[in-house]
Amino acid sequence: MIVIDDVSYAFPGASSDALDHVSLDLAPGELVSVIGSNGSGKSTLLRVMNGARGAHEGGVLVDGIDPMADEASSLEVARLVGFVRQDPVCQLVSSSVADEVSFGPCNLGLEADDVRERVTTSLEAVGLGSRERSGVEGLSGGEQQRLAVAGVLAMRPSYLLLDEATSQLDSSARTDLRSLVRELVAGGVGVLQVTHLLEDVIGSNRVLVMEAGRIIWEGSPADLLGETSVLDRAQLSGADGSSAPDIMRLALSCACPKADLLDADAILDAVTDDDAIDALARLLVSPQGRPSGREGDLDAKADGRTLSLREACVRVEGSDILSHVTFDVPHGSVLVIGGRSGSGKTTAAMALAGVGELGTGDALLDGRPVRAGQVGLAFQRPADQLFRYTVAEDVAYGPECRGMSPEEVSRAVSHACELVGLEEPLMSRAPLRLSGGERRRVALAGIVAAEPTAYVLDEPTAGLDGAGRTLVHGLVRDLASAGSCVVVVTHDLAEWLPCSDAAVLLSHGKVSWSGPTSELVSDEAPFLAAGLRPPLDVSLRARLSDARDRVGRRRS
Amino acid sequence: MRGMLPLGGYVVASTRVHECDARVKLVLLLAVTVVMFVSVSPLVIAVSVISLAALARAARVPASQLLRSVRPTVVVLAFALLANAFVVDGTADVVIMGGFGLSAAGLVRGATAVARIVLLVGFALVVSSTTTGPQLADAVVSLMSPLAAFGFPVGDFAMVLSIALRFVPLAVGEFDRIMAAQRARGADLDTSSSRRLGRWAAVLVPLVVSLFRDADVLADAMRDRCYRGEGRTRLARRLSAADVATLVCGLASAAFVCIVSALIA
Repeated sequence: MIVIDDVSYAFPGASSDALDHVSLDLAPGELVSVIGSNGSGKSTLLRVMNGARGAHEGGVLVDGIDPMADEASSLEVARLVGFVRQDPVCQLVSSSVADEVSFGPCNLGLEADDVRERVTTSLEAVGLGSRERSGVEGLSGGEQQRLAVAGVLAMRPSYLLLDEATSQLDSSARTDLRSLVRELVAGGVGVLQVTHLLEDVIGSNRVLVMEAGRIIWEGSPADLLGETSVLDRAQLSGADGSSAPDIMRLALSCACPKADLLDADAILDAVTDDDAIDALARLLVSPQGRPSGREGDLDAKADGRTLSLREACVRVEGSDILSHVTFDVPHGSVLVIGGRSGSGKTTAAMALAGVGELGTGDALLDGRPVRAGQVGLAFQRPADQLFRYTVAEDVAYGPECRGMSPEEVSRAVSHACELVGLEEPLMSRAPLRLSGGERRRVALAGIVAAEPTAYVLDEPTAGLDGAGRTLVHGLVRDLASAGSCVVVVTHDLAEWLPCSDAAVLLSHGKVSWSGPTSELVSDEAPFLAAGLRPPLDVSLRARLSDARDRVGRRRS
Repeated sequence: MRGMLPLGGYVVASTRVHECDARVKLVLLLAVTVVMFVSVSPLVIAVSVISLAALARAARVPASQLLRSVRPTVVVLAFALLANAFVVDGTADVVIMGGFGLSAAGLVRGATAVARIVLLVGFALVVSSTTTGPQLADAVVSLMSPLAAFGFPVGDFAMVLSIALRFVPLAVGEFDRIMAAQRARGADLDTSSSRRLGRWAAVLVPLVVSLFRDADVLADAMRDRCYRGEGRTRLARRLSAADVATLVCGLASAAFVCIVSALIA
């Protein structure tokens, strides 16, 4: 049992506590989810639980051991409590799979034969048994996360802490990792996961909601679905502005098993009476959150005023990264590009923005080849590109590069800051001293300020809480309404379908489906063909009429 | 996306050269280097060309990659060739003007020097493209382990080497990503001018910040997995019979080539 008793922790120099009198316990064989906005103290809580940070007040005991007692206790707690992070890349210490897994056991000074045996069994436990002799670079993001879990399992831990471990994975890799975690829990490991995803929360035994360093709510996932005000404050992805919680509530009221709330068939099996089916149908209508801008599209498209890829091909070392990819994004519309990791999404995004080379084919903006600087480009963690002394200077960088006059620059800067909600007092501060959320706004303002007529956003909301996502969704809608072409590249289609007009699904570098979003929201086949798990509402919509027929037949 | 790094780039394959123990490969690379610098004869060059071609073929390292690896040094190599070939003291075989001209002996000397360097780069490339970073780090450490007796921190050195090798591709990826992002903001990183360095601040500042952050994450991840720098298990593989045979044959033929070329001279 991990016992956290009335723990407080403050970062050096911070005015408020990152953890403010937090108490909780984690038993073996239990899965607990911790949710809450960015900066609410979730990650700090995990760092205290595995002894990496010492609590300033209160006590931490892991199976009766205080990690702060002495060096040996600290080491034993680190062994007992495994830790897996969000970024699959930064946490791996080695470039070879076997070596990565042996790192922990070697640190423990175990016998060489024992180490080798643990490497084999841990890799088998995570389904990477055949990859023992591979290099780390050749693994997909999902495989790298499972490798990180294997590296932890080789230390034979009793507990596992997951810090948004699924957030950078595509939907099928998420499902794989989630079932691996379930197996570990069934095998007696106590797991505590920090997450922003409603789908992660559903299968857990308990949920804790954190806000400003405190635990403000605790209960079961079913209870959480019932508490709409708490659900709002928790800022879960898949819960904000979506009908998923309502659908799950309805399913629960129809006695759908709690563990099956992500399974469309189970929900439809449970929802049998006519009233409930009607209620479900009402929850499933109108997925489109972007009523404006649609009619202008056709004109723009007819005029050839689009951001387009034409027959784009990229080959690297004999394998096709992109193969004959063609699509158009008219001004005033949002196109979402989805696909598994490694499907060529980012290569397409770079080409569209004029910063990636195509083997053959063209990237065109309004009929002419795209040049770097014409299309606004944001990667995940856009804050990584900030480099000037003050916020104002950094936002002005793009406009200055475009050769605007000082008056134009200051107008563009203030307009961009207004769009992303950056307030005046921040303008003279140093970007690196701002909070994560503020830095993101600065970075987005810097992209918007250059006033491109088209934008490519690559995974712009990964790892963000509800407030951060709402900001980006709003910005995308505003930019499209103002007449820009907007392309969003994502592994999380469920999140972006409501904000988009059209979609392209990529699979192994080829377009496996393309068309208006309205056709995609009730058809599972395109998702399956692209190797993706269809979002819950899509599956429900696709199968709703079957379910009605079934109920009808049963009755007659 | 950028091409392969000049040297390095492990080529995933399963060949006899890949299977060979990294220690054996390093020792033989050292032996070849010694032979090439001890003995300057056409025989050594000829034997090296043949064995490099055979090795590259066995290891499935494409010749194009060898050319790419030599490219950064092409100016220096051309200079070495020309500096040797031209003479100004009147000993020229082909007189161009006054005492200035081409010397046949110098040309041969220059060509030998250039061939030697290209061949060594080739051998090093075969080793680096058939050996993973950790294997290489382990081999270096294993060969250095006698130094531990003199108080050299072999274990720490091993970790530093292995992590450095792991971080090179990550840093390159990060660099490319930030460069793409800044070019998309309109940064002109291509045309050269006196202010070019200042413009690269747009890439270098974020790169350094992000590498420090990654390093912090990695340090935490190592701590979480009980790394203390000491008392680590060393998974030293024992040399297989094939490895020992390769080592003995390799060293014997290097010595043989040395002796024969000395006798001919």
